[in-house]
Amino acid sequence: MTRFWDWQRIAAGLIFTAVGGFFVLRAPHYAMGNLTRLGPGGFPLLLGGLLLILGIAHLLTARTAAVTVFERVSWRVVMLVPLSGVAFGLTVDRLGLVLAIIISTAIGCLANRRVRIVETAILCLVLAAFGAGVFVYGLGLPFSLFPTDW
Amino acid sequence: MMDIIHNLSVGFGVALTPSNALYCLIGATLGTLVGVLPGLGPVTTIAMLLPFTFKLPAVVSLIMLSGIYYGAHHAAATSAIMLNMPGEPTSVVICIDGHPMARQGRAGPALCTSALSSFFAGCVSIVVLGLFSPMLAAAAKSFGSAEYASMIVMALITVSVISSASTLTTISMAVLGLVLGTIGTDLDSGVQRFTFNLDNIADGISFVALAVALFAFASIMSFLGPGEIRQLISAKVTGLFPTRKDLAASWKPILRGTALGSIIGIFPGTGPMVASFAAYSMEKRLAADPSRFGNGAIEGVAGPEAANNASAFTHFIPMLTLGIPAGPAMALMLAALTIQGISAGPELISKHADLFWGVIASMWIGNLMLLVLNLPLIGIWIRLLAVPYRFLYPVVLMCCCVGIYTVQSSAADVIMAAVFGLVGLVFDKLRCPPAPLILGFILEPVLEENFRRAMLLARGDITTFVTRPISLGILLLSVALLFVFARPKARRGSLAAIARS
Repeated sequence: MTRFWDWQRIAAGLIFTAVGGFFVLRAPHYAMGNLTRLGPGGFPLLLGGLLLILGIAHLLTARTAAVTVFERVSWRVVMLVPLSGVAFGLTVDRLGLVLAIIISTAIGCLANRRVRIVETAILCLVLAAFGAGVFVYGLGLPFSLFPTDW
Repeated sequence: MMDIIHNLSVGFGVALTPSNALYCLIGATLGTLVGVLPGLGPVTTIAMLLPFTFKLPAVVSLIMLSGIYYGAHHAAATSAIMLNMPGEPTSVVICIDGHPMARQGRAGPALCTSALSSFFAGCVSIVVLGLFSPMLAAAAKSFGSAEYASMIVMALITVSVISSASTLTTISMAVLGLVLGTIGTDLDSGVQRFTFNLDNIADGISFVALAVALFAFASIMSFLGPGEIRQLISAKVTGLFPTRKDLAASWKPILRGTALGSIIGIFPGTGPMVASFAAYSMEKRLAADPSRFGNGAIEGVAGPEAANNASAFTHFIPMLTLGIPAGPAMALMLAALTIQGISAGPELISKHADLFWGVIASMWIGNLMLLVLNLPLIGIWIRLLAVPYRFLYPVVLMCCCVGIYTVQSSAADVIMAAVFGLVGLVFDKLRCPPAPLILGFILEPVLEENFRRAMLLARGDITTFVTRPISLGILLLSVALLFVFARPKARRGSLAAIARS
């Protein structure tokens, strides 16, 4: 029977191995203690070592009978959805809640395959009004609504 | 028995105050909404709304969050039946027979049967929850640190083996969650571990940011990926009520499903997904004519739906009585309690009796509300199925950003969550489910504390975990679970495949 590399398993294994390895290398920077009285580095070393072993086990069992099928990734979605959150984080302190919501929603809406401009504009305004009304006036969360220092 | 009645009357006193009843209604309605809408689940919703509940009293926030949880389980059958698209993964099996019923013009009876069996299962399993929790809490009080640590290991193993992904991978995800949980200040020594002098992770990675990243950002991305596919088979439902023949065929499956679901829900790590699959295969095996299954057999809706909802309620037991959440939604509720300063565990029922019994009573009320929401108002929810996802996800995105920010007024947390969302998507594409990770993450401090204390008490003798009988029993059970569940994974995978096709 022909065997193929299971690339998803290999990638997952590499991630686990890397993270586990990092914690194994880094944990001894903290006091290890002894078995009776474990120091702050002891338990992370144990867990990191376990993860390292599990990661290597992934790499050793990465032969399968089926060809790996990768789902298609829409780069547009992958870039723009996180960017929307990042934009909110970067703007909310300086520009206030209203503008942060408008900017992040506009970026988020671009992630959709077909961008409808009028619809997006309306959605931005509705969400900004909703956000200000519910979160600031309704729940009393400590946001400034508009840019504070110009 | 008198105790129960007394406790329940206290509970109803708490749950029936106007504001608590209102939050119960809000929770149940929100739950129904997100349960019906595919692509928006209870875990996403609870993660998204978690920060907004911090200012509410603990009992109110738990009433609302649990309303979202069981409401979503109740309503998830609607989109499974109408769209052949499960509102929640737990109702995947409802598609198999529910959707064919809808195609045959019997959507009404299918919806009605599912609502009635959910209601019945809910009523029974809430009683199980009330009766069983104090017993388990009493038993857990005799647990030492070694037993606690073993119990957490068992919960992590169970949640790993029930997933349809490779067991090696899911266990690795649980360990990864544990590893990430060590980041932050060590409780024992006060040393900052793996923080690299970054301020916003000095107290550890924000649970809310991590949960929102994995269950909201990543799920939006994976749902937006393939584009919108929506086919409503018929927006009009006529003849809601099942025939006499339907009722005769479904009452036994409902009873069996309720019993099975209640029992399965109690075990840490399992839950509604396992329960509904188990109930479906049980009904198919017991049926006189198994070939009807897959072609609109009403037993295939009634049994799994009862099991699904029964276990949704008993799912609360390990979280409330042991402080060990059995799934991602329970991990979020545990976080809600912890942030309120309430530690879930054996002491919860005695120390916070009004909270415990208030929430249980509210579940009963919520269950009644759900019957009204799902039967007379079913038309509204079906119409909502037509709301395109492109209007939905920006709302979710905004609520997530605002929510994460409010936890500690940190814009950096929002940015971190957005980036973690990418990591979540990578894991999604690599067939690594996030549930074990989030469970490992929230349980790490408890596991480490108990592990270290057990080692201290045993003077560094690691065999303490296998020489103490209860601890040994729990560990043996975990190993048995590993072997029993790791095998038939392929078969369960094919069941899910049938459901999807």
